Amino acid sequence: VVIAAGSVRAAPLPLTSLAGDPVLLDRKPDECALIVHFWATWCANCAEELPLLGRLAVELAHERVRLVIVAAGEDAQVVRDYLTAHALSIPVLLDARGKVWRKAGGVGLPLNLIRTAAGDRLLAGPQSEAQWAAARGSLHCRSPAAP
Amino acid sequence: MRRPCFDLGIPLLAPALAGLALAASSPEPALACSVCMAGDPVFSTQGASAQSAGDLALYAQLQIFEKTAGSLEEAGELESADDQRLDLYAAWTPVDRLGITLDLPFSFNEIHEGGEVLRENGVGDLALSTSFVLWRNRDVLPTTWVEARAFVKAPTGDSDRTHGGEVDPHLQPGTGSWDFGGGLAAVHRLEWGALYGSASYRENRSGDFGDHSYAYGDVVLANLALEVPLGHATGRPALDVLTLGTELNFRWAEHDVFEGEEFEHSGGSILYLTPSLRIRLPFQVDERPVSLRTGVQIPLTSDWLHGVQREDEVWSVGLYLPL
Repeated sequence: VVIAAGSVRAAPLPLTSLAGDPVLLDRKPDECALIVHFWATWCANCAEELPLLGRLAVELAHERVRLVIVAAGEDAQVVRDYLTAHALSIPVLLDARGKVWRKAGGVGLPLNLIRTAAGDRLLAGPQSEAQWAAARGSLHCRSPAAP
Repeated sequence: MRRPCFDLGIPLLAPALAGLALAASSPEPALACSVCMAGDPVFSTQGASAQSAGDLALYAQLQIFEKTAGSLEEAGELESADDQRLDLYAAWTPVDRLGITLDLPFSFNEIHEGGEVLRENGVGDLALSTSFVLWRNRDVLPTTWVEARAFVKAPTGDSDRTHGGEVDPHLQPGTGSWDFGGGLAAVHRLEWGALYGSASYRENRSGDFGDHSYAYGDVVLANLALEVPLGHATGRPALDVLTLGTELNFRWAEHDVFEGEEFEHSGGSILYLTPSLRIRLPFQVDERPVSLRTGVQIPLTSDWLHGVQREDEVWSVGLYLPL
């Protein structure tokens, strides 16, 4: 697992929905962590990971961790077409000009920004299921009773 | 092993577009070299990649020139120059699309003329370059882009040092002139490498050299380059540290002008073939690798140069240090 230490960036992330509505994304007080996964439709390695992320999002919700998928530098219609073509029903937000990705320290895709009470850190590159499991463990968000 | 999508970056680094004219010759007799640099410092610095907004980097490059110029009929012998030039580049990307670069050169000039050897060393002329990405195929990790460049050089280096009461422009660390330039560059990234091209025009104005005025000819520079990161191209991670480059560097220059008179043995065109190797060193600064680059410009012909001139290989070595 490649976890790159990022600077603390506590500011909410200005994104948009696929419908074009502004969304100010941030970790909620009752959430243990927010994971923002940046990807792009043209990124082949990103595509491999998307189905896994759909399942992961459901599992992480039980640990008070929200996983949000963000298309970086993409047009809304292109993203919609992509999701339809790949039969994916995951919710996706837009970072249309890639500004949020860039400000987060993005130099490649995919990129995960992990926001906890301690601040932000980056998890760069595609992650296998095992690598995601290790990353989840490092968050210490699981309650002892959780499966 | 899976890899993240290739870091394409945005080419916001814009070092100097052209070099100073520092080489062999003196105004009396007229053994003039015109502009003795070719190539594109942007490509030399970091290849067809770039910095992200907020990044700062230093690049130190040493170049070694050897040039012969003159007229056997007029001067009885040729004049040759063995020059070294150390450029310290500081490149800053304040915002997305925009790059600013400062170039501080140090010159170590040596001229052999009539059995005499003349030497001058010193800080040269400070140059400021900017680049702006005009178009790119996408905002995140673009694979194709076009950028505009602008360049200005100030006469900060000495240009009036004397030898035997004479001021030789080609020995001076500076040119004594404000020079301006501009151009375009483009990059197209492929799965296995990158294509790079640039073209620029530089207006070299007349400089003061003691009681004399001397103007290096205006210059057109054009460059084509192919860059191949060996690890990525071959699928062998062990070769990730190596990037091969091959360039064609073209230069056309007007005649130099001394006191209103054109030197016959100056200016003209030359084409170099430039193989290079970039080595990623096992050091990183904020996850950005330190790298070493070495290359040699091999002149394919000196026949297009005006009058009697010959340029030899130009060797270079540089160290890239992100901050």
